[in-house]
Amino acid sequence: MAEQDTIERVSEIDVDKYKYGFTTDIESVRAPKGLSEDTVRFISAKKGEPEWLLEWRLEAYRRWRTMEEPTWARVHYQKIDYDDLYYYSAPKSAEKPKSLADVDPELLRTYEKLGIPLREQAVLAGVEGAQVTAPRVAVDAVFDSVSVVTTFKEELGRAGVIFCPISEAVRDHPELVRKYLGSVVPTSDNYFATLNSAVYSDGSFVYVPEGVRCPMELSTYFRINEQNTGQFERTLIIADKGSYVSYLEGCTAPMRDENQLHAAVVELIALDDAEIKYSTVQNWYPGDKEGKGGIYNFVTKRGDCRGRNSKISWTQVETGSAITWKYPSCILRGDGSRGEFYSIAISNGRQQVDSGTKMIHLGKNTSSRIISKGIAAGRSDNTYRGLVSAHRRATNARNFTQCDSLLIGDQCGAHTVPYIEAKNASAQFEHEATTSKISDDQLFYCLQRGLSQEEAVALIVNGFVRDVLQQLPMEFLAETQKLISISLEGSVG
Amino acid sequence: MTIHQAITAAATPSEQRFLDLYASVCGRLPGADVPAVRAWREEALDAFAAMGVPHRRVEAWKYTDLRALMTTVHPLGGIDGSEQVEVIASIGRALANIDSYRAVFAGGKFRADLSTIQGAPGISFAPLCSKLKSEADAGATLAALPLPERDIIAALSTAFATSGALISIAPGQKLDRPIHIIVIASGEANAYALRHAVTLGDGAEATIIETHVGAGAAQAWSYTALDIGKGATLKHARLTQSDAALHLASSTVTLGEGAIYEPTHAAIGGALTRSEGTIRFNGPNARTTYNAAILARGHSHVDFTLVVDHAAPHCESRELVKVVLDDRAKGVFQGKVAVQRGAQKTDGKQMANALLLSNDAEFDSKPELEIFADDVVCGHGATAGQLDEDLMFYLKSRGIPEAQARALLIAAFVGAALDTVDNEGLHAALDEKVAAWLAAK
Repeated sequence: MAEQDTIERVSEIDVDKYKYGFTTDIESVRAPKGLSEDTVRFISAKKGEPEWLLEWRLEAYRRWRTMEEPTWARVHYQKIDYDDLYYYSAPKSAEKPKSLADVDPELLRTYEKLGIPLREQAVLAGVEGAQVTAPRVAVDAVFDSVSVVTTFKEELGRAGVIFCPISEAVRDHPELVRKYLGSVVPTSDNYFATLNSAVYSDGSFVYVPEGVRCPMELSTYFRINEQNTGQFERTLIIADKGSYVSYLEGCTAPMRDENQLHAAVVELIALDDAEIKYSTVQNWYPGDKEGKGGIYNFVTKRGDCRGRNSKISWTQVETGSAITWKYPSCILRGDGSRGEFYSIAISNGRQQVDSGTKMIHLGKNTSSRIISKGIAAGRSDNTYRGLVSAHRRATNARNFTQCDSLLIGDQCGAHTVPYIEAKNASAQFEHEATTSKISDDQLFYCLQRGLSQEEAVALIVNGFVRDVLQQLPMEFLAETQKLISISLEGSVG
Repeated sequence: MTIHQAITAAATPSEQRFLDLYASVCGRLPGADVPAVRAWREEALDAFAAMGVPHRRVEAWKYTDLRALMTTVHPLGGIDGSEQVEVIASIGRALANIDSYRAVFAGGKFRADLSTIQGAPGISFAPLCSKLKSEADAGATLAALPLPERDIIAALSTAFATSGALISIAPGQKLDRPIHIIVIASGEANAYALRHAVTLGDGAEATIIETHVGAGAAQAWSYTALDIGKGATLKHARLTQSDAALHLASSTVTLGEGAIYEPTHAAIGGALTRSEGTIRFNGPNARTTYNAAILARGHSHVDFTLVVDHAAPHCESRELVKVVLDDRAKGVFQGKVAVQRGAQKTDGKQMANALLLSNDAEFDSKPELEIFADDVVCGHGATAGQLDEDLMFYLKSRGIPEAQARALLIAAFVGAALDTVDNEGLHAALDEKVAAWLAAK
């Protein structure tokens, strides 16, 4: 079984063997091309939003018009023509909310092909074909600009957990949305976040009430399908006092020659003693070998440990996207709060990754931990960029950072740009970074035991990223290990 | 390969002050009547004007906002007259006593009367101003003093240079004692600009000590170009010390095949000290060991910025930076290790440790790796924290009073960087400086 797997993988050695690259043929409704106040009004009207939200969007739009696209990241791309994009696209059949039974079978087939269980009795099999029974997962499936279905809503409702598309939350729980939306990533935060605030179309909303441990994993699956569209989703997760939630996010897109924009905003809020675990497996279409096509992934993710002893943990596996510009961060505001960031970023072909995290220590006795593993192959560039800062009143702040890079091939680049700012004597920061290639000794050892070059590299790389893999929820683990070896295919020798 | 980014021009009052200063002194600067000299200066001034005075939005100056920290530009010293200077009083007996070939620059001028470097065996020495008098001399000299790209400090030091040490050591020459360049910015409220250049021939061996002291609110700008030939060895110690002065120093070091460069930098105090440099490997099998220590208290702001550029394969770099900050002092270390494509078998390590003695002190660090070759071993580390309570307790339990225990631990902390100096006289002098700093609290 495993051998067969390896043989198959080796036989399709090529970066552009992206297995989620199919398109779904489905009729869709789009906003008129281009970006203007009318586009914003169009999206808002489609969602049937209240006046305050429209105003909020318009304000963001007006601000965005005055802003300049940031250029500090180590990524290079042709200027994006923001007026040549569709900002809203929805499958025609998904226009009205429905139950699972009413969802367009074409859409269901798409998710089936992607291996995403939308039927409540279905279980998520880690590796296709393997009979792994995993715990149940509630899924919010977002297709282009809209959420098509959310599963297990009733069962979650019995526990008091709200899990629904954010547009539905605006309608059903306006007080919560109004209180927390934009409170972690304000509309003025940065160019892409401001754009998102103006035109975001859908995303997931989670509220876990006081003292509740969410009975199952929550998950959102993002799929870009339509041509020439951008996806702008917005996720808002609130863990009330003493609650716990684990949330997974997955993403894929068809193979297209054009570059597509994905500018999401994710806001997490953890109140006293609450914990949020947020895991991402990002596998957007990375473009072909020559760097043609692929998703521009410009994402703002930030968690606010607002309460005492709260905890937010980010785990990310980044293998896709032509360009990744993403810094999931933690604001450690509550005393005794804790932030974690575990990341594996793999780049091959002509991918460009500029990713990392920010740990901002504001409260007393806060601690944070950063483990980042970057792997660059082909002609790609992989940059870790991070900030750890302790403010004057952050007594006893603690941070440990480790960022390691692995280079495979002599045409790629691996870079580390950490910023460390200590403004308090009792803060203790430790940062270490290494860059190396796969050691000849390790490779020789594996080859000598009868492993092929490809298998040996996969084994060593999996060992290299082990610290991060351990943080992933079980359901993602097998998938991720496979993803890592696929992403690195063809990069040896 | 530089840490700088393009800086957008803006003729704000910050730039205007420098342009006005130049307009007021350009007729009296050395070589004012020699067109080649004038062109050389004005090229630098134009480069400065195009870059502007850097501020915190300029990435390389993120933690040292020069526009905010340098709100005045003093009149340029070193043009007319001569200042009374006592070397021993300025730099201390221990440093003054080091047996060396001495080149003293005081108040922006070369002081032949206080120097001993002239005619030293194997050393060709000339003060920069002596080479700017005729078109013929200037042409040859300035051709060897190009302006580095995007270096604001080098641009200022060039445009306003009143002098500087031009030193050349013949191939194979092994100096019997160190060269000691002493720069005294003595005048209250004056600005001084020097430009130095040192060339070591293939296989030469030398030790250079630079001592920069500033009195009062002096402003000192300097740029040093060091070229180390194949198989040559240079040990280079630089000490910057002052209370209220502003030091802006920049350097570019290039290493030939198999060359060895061992710099030790120490900065004690100063209203603002920015010492930036590039160490570039141009040939294989060369190595550098950079050790640095910062001791700052009061409102001092000390910034060390270093780029180690591995442009050739099989080179090794080591960096160790120790930072001690008290009161409201701010310490900055920006270290970049760049490995260019093809620089295989590079071995680069960097470590920065900061000790914060006060809750108002601040340490900002940006250790950066930029790697384009796969067969390399590179790493960096950075830590920040306070004195280890366990160590303090241990010392106190042995009957050592608190103040002394602290001093011992701090001295040991910076000692890790400074103990590598092998010149005994210099070693003793540095120890004395550290002890004096600790005792001054």
